[in-house]
Amino acid sequence: MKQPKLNIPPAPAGGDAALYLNSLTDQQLVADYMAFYVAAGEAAAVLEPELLELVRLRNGIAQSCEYCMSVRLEGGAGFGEDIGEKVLRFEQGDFSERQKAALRLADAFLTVPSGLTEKARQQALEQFSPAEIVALLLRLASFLVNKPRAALGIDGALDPQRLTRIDSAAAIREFTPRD
Amino acid sequence: MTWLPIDQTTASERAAVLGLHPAAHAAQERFLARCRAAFDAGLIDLCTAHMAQSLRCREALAAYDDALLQTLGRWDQCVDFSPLQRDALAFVEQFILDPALIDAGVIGGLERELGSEGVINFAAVIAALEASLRLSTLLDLEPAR
Repeated sequence: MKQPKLNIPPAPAGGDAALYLNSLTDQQLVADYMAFYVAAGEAAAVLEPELLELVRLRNGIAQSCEYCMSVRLEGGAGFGEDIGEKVLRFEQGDFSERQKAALRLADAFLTVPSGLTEKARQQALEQFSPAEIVALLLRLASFLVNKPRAALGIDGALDPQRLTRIDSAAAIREFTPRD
Repeated sequence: MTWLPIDQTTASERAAVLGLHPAAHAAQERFLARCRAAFDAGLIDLCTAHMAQSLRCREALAAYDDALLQTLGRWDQCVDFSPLQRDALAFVEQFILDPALIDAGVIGGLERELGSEGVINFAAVIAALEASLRLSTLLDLEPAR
């Protein structure tokens, strides 16, 4: 059980840390965030689910988010357990040029966004339309909700023993506040 | 100017670029507006300026005067900031680099000022604003005219 850095009880044993933090957050903020998350997901529906899952995992690594790395969305169904390592060393891996171009964008976004090289920009434009690039980045922006979890120490794995497959639509219903 | 090849017919480059996905752009703007309204405007502005400075976000930096940015560049030596402002600046500085490494002492300081729920909401707000700044910086958006 991970101990929060705040003076609050840890997430219940066997519970969902993300849902727990969600329940402690202002529900108007959560509602507007979820509306953005859903809209960004719809914009990114033009992109392959596998590619989006690679980008989500890259974000999980960047924030050292145990929760993010313990779950797989639909696009990650075919990924092995070593996918985190592969994503981190994507330039040397057997990803497609399109996936590598997306991971370069994600890498810069998550580390030093002002440092995106001219070459990486060109490679992105060779692989994606401007609308696809914007969709990818809006989706990535929507994933950064994991940073408070990591910052506050409320990011324990959903199941420390194994990967958990998540149904995106069900998760959205679960996380969205009810009127 | 952004490196994306787009036709700009709107007043701002942000609107032209993010407007490629109008629904997502509008939803993000609503979320950001909610975030900015969740805390004292001065505190949020200070944190946004410091994050923009750290990320080198041209679009956002254009909204701040040089004197403020110079002061923020050495905020830890400046006695003019309140304890809350100092804790908030320490928080956002590390939040940008690696949120998992934020010191519990910094969070404890914020918690004394804002309460536990306040810190949770503050972290959510900072994450949203930071994501928007990162998006702008990566795309090299022009400041609004």
